[in-house]
Amino acid sequence: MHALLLSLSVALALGSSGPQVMALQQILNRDSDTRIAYTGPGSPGNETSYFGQLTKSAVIRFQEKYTSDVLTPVGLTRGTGYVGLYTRIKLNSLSLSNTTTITAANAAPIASSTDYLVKASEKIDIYAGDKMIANVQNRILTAINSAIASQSTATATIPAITLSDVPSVVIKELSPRSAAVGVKISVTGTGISSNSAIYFGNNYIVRTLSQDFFGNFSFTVPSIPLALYDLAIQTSGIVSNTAAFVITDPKNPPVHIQSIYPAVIAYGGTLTIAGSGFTPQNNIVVTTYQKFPNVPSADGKTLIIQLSPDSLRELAKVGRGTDKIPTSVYVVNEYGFSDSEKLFNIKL
Amino acid sequence: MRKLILASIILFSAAILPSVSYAQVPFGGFEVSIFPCTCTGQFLHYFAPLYLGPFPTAGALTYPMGAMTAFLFGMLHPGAWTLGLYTPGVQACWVWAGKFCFPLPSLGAISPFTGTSL
Repeated sequence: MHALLLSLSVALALGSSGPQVMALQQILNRDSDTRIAYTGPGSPGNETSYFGQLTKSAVIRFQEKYTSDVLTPVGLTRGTGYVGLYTRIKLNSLSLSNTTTITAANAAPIASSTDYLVKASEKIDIYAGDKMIANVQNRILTAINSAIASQSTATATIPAITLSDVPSVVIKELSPRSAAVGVKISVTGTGISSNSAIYFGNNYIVRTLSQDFFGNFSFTVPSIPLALYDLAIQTSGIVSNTAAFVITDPKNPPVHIQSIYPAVIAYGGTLTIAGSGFTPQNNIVVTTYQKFPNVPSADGKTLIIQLSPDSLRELAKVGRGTDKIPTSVYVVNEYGFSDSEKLFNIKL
Repeated sequence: MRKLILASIILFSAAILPSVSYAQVPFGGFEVSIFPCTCTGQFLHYFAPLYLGPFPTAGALTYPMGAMTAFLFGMLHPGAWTLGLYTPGVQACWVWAGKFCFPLPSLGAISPFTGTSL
């Protein structure tokens, strides 16, 4: 079953807003060549109703991809970002097509299904649980950093953390963490029931969880745009933490970290990750103390990050030169998760 | 000053060298934060919820830095669900503050044979 997205009927341009903009973004996100963004607002599942610079850039890429249909009839050779008549005709024709008209090698062949679109009555902030957890993290870190700054020998007073400070619905594990459409995914956690719903970003939802004889829950990867999603589970109004999940295209290469350099890195230093399967943009590099979104890789084999985590800043000020803090790193992008993690040391 | 140094040495010794063999107890929990104990060579992991028995709570456990092996890398990422064994009531996390080390409270020490959801 394919999407019956809202037909684009009015001209759209930078600054426009409303449901037609969201429909535009959903159509553009079906093709990796014209994707609004890979993570955050505008990414698949997180389409917005605002026509900003990212949307304009995606429209320009769309117009230049279909030059003969969109630009040539009006005497243009370069995209403008203005969604006029010919652009809308082409967008609508792709939107309503039941065939794979998107021809890029890595384009998403599966259209969005209306079954999986979040209805107005179902909208939530999928990051509500993450925000609660971030608040706890900040309270702990503030207390520790204050103790370091005060240079006291007394036991640091860590703020009391209660269960009401964190969501009562928690995703423990998704297995596997990346898979193609139609694959069954096991999900474990606390507060999960047959009434739970799984959100893929803010705009897609799986409303049905299966439960086996032993009480284990699972869901089937829905036919929505192939992308990296933040998943959250909602049970009776409680929103869990998010967990990354990639709906993969089998044609994409695996993500692999071959090596990292250097093995010991000073606070504020640069870490080079060598491997394969890195995307040109929007690789997410996750280390123990710092998460790096949108890391580019010009050659698909190298990622470079600069490590200066807030959580170690105070320690770095007073750190002894011999201290080496083991730190782990992995990579995730629209191709999937890296098949291993690597360990290095931060020298304080 | 000398007294302070002596007191620190005694406290470190008490923290580093477990003097009693305790029984190991199962635990499980969602890791919300991690911090390095730069004086005593452990990590302090904050869990919430933390299951030390049938009822959830919240709290911190230590884990030795030197025990990090390949299958444990997930433990170095907040957001992991950790399952394993811990020894209640032993070891504290001591953090360097420029002139002295200060302790962070801990409910116990995680066994090196613990695994994670990552």
